Amino acid sequence: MNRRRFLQGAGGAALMAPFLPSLLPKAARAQSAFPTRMVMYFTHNGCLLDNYRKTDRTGALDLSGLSTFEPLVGMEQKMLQIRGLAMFPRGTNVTVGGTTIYFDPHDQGTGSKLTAAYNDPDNKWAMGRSFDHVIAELVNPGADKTPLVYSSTPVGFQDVKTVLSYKVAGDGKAFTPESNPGKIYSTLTGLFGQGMAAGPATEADYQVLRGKSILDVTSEELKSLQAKQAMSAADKARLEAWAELLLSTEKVIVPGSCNADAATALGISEDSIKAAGGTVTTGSSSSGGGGGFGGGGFGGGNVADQMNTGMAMLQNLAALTMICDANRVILQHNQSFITFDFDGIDAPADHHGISHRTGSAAVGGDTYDPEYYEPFIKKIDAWYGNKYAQLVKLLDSIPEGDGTLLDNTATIWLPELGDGEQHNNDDLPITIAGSMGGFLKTGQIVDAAPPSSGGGGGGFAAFGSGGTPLNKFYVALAQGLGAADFSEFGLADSNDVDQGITNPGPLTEILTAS
Amino acid sequence: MFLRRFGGIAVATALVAGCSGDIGSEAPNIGAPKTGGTKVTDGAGTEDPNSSAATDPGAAAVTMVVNSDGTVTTVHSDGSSTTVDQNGMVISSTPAQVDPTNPDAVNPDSPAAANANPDTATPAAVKSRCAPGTPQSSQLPRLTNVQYDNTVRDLLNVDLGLAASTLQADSKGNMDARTWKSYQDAAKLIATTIVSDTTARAAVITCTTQDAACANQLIADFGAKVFRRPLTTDETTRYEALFADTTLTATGTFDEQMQVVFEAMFESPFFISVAELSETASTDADGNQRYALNDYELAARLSYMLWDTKPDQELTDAAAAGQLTQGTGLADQAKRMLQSDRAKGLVQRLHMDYMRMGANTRWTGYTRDATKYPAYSATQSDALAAETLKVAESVVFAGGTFADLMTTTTGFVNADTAPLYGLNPADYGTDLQQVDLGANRPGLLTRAGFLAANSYGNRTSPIHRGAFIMKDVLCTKIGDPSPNAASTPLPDDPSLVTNRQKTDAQTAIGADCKACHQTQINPPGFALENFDAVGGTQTQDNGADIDTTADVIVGANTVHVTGASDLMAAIAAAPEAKRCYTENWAQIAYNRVLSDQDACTVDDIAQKMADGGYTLSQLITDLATVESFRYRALETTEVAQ
Repeated sequence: MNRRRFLQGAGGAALMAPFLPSLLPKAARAQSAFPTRMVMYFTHNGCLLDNYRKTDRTGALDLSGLSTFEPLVGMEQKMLQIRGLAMFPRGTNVTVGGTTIYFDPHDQGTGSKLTAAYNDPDNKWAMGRSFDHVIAELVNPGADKTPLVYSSTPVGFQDVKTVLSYKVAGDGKAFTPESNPGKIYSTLTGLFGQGMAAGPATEADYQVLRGKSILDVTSEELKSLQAKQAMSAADKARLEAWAELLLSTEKVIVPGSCNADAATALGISEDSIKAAGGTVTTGSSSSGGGGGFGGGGFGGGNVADQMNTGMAMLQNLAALTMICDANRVILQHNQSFITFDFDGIDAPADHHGISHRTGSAAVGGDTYDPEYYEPFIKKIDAWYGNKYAQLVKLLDSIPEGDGTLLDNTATIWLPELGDGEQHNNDDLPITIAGSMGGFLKTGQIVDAAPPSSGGGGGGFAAFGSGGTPLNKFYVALAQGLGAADFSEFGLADSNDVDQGITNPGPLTEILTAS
Repeated sequence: MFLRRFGGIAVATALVAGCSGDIGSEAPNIGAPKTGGTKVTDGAGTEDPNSSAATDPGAAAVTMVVNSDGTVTTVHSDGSSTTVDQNGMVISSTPAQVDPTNPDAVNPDSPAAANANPDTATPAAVKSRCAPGTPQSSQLPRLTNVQYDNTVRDLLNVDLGLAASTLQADSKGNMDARTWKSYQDAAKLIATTIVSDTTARAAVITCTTQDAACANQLIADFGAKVFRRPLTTDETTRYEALFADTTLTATGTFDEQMQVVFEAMFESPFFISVAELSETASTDADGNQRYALNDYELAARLSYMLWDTKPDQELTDAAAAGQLTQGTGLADQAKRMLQSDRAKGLVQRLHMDYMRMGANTRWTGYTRDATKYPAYSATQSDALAAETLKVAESVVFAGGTFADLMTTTTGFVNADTAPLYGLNPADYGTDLQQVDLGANRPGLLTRAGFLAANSYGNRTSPIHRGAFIMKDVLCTKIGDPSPNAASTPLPDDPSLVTNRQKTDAQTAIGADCKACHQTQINPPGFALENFDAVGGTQTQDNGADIDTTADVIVGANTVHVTGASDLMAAIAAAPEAKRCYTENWAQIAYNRVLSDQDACTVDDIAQKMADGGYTLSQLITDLATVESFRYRALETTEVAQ
């Protein structure tokens, strides 16, 4: 019996019921019955903080005027920014076994980021498991407890500076992100017809369909206005801006069911993957081109294609992964040494070199020219902001229950560094979209700690000396993912690794229950 | 809206104004919002030479005499004289005494010759920036939040208060993501309300059999109300298709399908914007291109101007019959609508702006020395503000003129405010009750609201009162206060007894202060010294008799007044005050920064007011029917403002 027939048989009361529930604020709803998930969107080399966040450390979140978040203005009610979090161990000097050891800030910045561990003094690899693996093992459904880690650029994950994910502690190996969309797709096709959202259409499905149809009508009406002749340039600009908003709103409308239709709606098919140079594996056979978009990947392929077409496909696959509940822990690793000579950025050097304001890995010296390089950083920051917004909006366009996939997910923009020039890892710029089904606060800026509190120094003059350990953020995420007893994470929450975890428990400041 | 609000704030801080020139009647606020104490600029931000004084008040050329019967005789610089009654009606005049061989020269035998300044001997007190043509405007002005709420209320019979709960603050220019999202959310709420709220449902869904035929009828009839015009065939087809698409809802019932239709209608640019799309082009007498509004567009313009809501059925019917573009149809409707209580909102809004009332102004949150002023109570300010607006309403809706506004003896008191007027509180309740306050309380500016607001805790403020009259009632341009002027203390010289004496000395410290204060700002304030810091009557100050005589500069004239009645009579007759008031009206009614083309409308109406016998309801009707109201011209800016 389909839903409509059932409701028709149920009589007038049901028939009269308007779709009011969809209008209720999220906070008023009961805790979601759908799984909660985490997507980490990781970027290297820091950013221009003034374009990322405002000076307010608490209060209502307002992204207006921040060039990095321009596409997400209006979505603040589903978002959260956190101030005052610091990574440990960090900086250049870490105490291990009573000895102070020097580490390169990039080595430690990525090595510690998801592990909260120090690096091996000899081979530099992180000495702890990364959070994505630890928590996936606890919360992922099915037999495969491995997180989905992907990157649209397929090479460059053999240097500790560019490795984030560690499956095994201290084995001297990186967990390589997946860049071939075909491989991800093949893990999902077997689940079609299953998944949490499969089954009869929900009110949210209808809401999405209605939204699209209404936007179609509005769009036609705007077109009829745009066809007017006796109209000023200013009015035409008003109409154009309005039409643009409609386009961004109706970009992807996907039924929230784990099936081939959902894949098709997301632009995912064997043909589209092959056409883009991916490899599709079904059963024991495989076909198609090379591994990853662009016919050879980063360093050998077209990076612009990888970063645009490839990333979009991988994000769509991440969404399909969620729809099918194939993985609840997803990590998008955006690689470090990208030269943004595309999409109108025309950067004269790679992102890392530009972040130093020198065009190279060198710090300071004659080539130091922030006035020249910072406009490029602003463009790169906005570019990454757009891709983050693309992911956020995609998840928010897919219905789940009476909300969207985004509502049940923490979509976290996690940075390697704070300010790119300072290479600092305190007061990290962290943004979350989605509340994990109401578990996390949204619509706010939350200050996790006063700027000068807690923690130990990092041995680099520009680094702040304090901040609340990022470890506690991970504990909160773990609990939001369903690991209720998870209470501490990592080898240490200060630069003195010998002290271990001194401040266990979740970051309560970001929890709605706090 | 409230484009001059900053002007009010600036006046409030103009405790001791410096006077670095720029004295005289201010040109209309054309091309840029008026800000108190700043020079009027044109659209390009450069100083406008036309906006500076037409005359040098230091050498005022003409005189004005308030006669014992209340009439005012003005002797112009050309030797002519005019006597007008309290309504501004000309009751007698004498011709100019001009040397026919030199028409610019003042006849040395004329009464004005003694103090005439030939350089400024022009009867025009205010130079206009009138540039013929149709004011430019957007074809797609979005409803203000007030208009949005009122329109939804009138369509649904339910007040959803969406401005407070859902909509973003009023804005012009491009639609942004946040604003668009708020319109989408509001549309969902409206659609849900129509099908689920009994009152709204009864107001909208009028068919008895709820089927496709009913839906089509609703799309045509209700749609025309939402869009403020009949739907086109394409639009009707789209909405009917939306209703027919049962894949969009879980049940496919009439209610659910119509809910989709309603949501789409309220998301439509034709609801959110008061679109003016008629492309009937023509040129005006000066060859400027313009487009005539059609009947429905005129109906919407008129209704949103006068009522802040959609056209009612009678106006819609008139539009459908093509009456608004014919003969007196538009004026007839304007007059009808002005008789409605719905027009009170506009009149209130205008006078709140004119008097600088509202939140965060001098009218709210003040305290006065209860020992010195026993009639004062902390709860009076709301009632006094309400009284001021009711006085204005009583004049406008009773066919009054600007002169009536400045001279009416009507007041409204309750038990709380009665003592301020020397009335027995026991005779009044909590509601404001109309009273005649007598000849010593002429007009809006002698109501306790204005007087108390423009005072200090334990004394009056002749400076605030005077600055308001000069700048906001007479549109006289006065320079910014000198730095730290506000902190200039009252002198503690024991020989200075009254507040007037102290203020006089306080503002005589430097040449800059003295120039503006003693000739411009202080005199009208001194003329009101018979009213204390809570608006009550006082005849003595600190044991000394109060002196309310003053020489007040009114436009190009210096008027000797003996007190409030003289002063109000002079203001009531002053062309500058009438023009200033008209300009306020044009800004509020048209909800835009006035252009050079609007200046022509202001000129025309101001001239009618100066001619006398011109009622304020006629002023509003004229604003709603002048040629520039019935046509639009394309904006020439490239970017949405």
